[in-house]
Amino acid sequence: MRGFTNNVILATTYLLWAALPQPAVAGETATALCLRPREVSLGIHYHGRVVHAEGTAPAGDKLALVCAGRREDLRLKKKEKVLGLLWLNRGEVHFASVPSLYLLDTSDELSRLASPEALNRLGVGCPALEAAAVGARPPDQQSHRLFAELLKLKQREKLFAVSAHGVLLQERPEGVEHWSADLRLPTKLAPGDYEVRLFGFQQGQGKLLARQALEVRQVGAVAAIHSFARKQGLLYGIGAVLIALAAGVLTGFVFGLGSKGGH
Amino acid sequence: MSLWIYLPVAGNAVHLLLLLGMGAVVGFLSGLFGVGGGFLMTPLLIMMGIQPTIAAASDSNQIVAASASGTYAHARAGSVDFKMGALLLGGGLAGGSAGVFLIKALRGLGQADLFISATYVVMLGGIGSYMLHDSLKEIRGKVRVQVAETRPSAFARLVNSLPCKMDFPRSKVRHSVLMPLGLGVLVGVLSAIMGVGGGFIMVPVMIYLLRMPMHVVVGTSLFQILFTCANVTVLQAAVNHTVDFVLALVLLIGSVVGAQLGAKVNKRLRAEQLKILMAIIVLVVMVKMLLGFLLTPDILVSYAGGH
Repeated sequence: MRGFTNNVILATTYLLWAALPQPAVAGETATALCLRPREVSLGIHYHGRVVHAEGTAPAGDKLALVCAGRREDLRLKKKEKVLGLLWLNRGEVHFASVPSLYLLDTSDELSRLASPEALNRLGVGCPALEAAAVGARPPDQQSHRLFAELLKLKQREKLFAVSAHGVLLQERPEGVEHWSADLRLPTKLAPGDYEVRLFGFQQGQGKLLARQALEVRQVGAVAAIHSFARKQGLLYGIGAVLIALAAGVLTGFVFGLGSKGGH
Repeated sequence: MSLWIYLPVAGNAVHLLLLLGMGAVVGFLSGLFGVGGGFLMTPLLIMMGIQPTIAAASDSNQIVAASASGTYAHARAGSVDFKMGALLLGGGLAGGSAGVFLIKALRGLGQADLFISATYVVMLGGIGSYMLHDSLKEIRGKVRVQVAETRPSAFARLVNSLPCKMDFPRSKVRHSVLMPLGLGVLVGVLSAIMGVGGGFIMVPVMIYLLRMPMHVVVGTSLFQILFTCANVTVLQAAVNHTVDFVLALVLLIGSVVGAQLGAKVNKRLRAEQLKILMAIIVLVVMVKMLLGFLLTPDILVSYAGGH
């Protein structure tokens, strides 16, 4: 009986431990970063969603919370003035390793967290993204200007957003601080694996405190249609045309009935 | 109940009522003037955050519905010249393929965008101005009656000299088969260069070069747009996977209703009134495009694809 009770206690303890967010970085506390929800479903009625993040950090730390999507290479058309008069697309610009989503919430102004070099090292902030995007070559004025244009494009789509004071701190007596933030996922969101990272900064030095995966996946009709379009493109196209034809003719028929007896 | 809808292929959520409204407005123009409306709808979708390639391909899908609805309404009224439409369509498909190769060659020379922009402004400006001028003359009643002794123009003499004459009873004209075929090729080339369905080029071509009556022009234009866009939709879905059917479905619900209303209004307006309205729309689009080339853009980079 005693052995059975011990087993139950052990199993319960294991289940409780397993239910907690798992540490991925040495030295992080188990409750450093908790997301609610940890999975986001892209159903037919998805139109953006708030993911609540909270946890604890060493007292006195300034915090930065980053939610980033898969990194991808981007080829964009760039506009230039031609003949001193017309703005036309002239060639392409290439950026490497640009995250599909980049939401940054901080507990203070970014410039007060750490030096630009320290932020770049941790990949926190837009200058860090630029350093990664232009690669090994030294950033010239042209590439810096074009990266600023990319930022404007992504910000307009709400795929890049920076919110100073988006992380709220609450000091606790036992020497840790409780923090919370709301990550606002945009309406334009691709399915995939996203990662949320928590960075702590003290006296200009920063380190990764915790990270947590955020899974975004399509469900229901959205998943079925997306899969059909990808795997059976020709059939999907023919079906789309037939349905459009039927809808057009049916409406014509219905309106035709309604107008009988007219002029 | 949420009025937002997530688009599976575009990967974006949009407001249902906004899409329905856009579909209705563009469908109305389609039924009224016999244009597909791609020149209006695609930029609107891009402004809503839809990727350009998906906006253009899905718009083609909804144009199938709007043009089917409009063609049905016009066919019931006896205002579709199927024979003329089929010849124009044949020429258009051949011209479209030639235009794609022409653009590829120009891209190789690095001059494609300049050429496309110049074509847009010149075509739209020329067509719009001519239609406006002609319609205003008609409305003011200053059209001079053609006298029998008037020497026919060089174009008229060329047209008359072409072989393989055929009657087009629905349009009440007699032309060489080469005329609609050749003009179809021309419009097909221009459509491929400009990246649009070609309705707003085809309509003036039918009015001024084929001398078809305005009410037959609209129905016949919709008839050939129907096939062009069906072809584009299937190809885009099969090759590029860029057709978002949910987006097209919502747009087409609005557009088929709009197309019916447009066709009804079309029957109530006089030909010169229709021409003047069409001319104004073509000129507005031309001015918008011209401003787009002249004014400094808000953002100097853009995603590849689209019209």
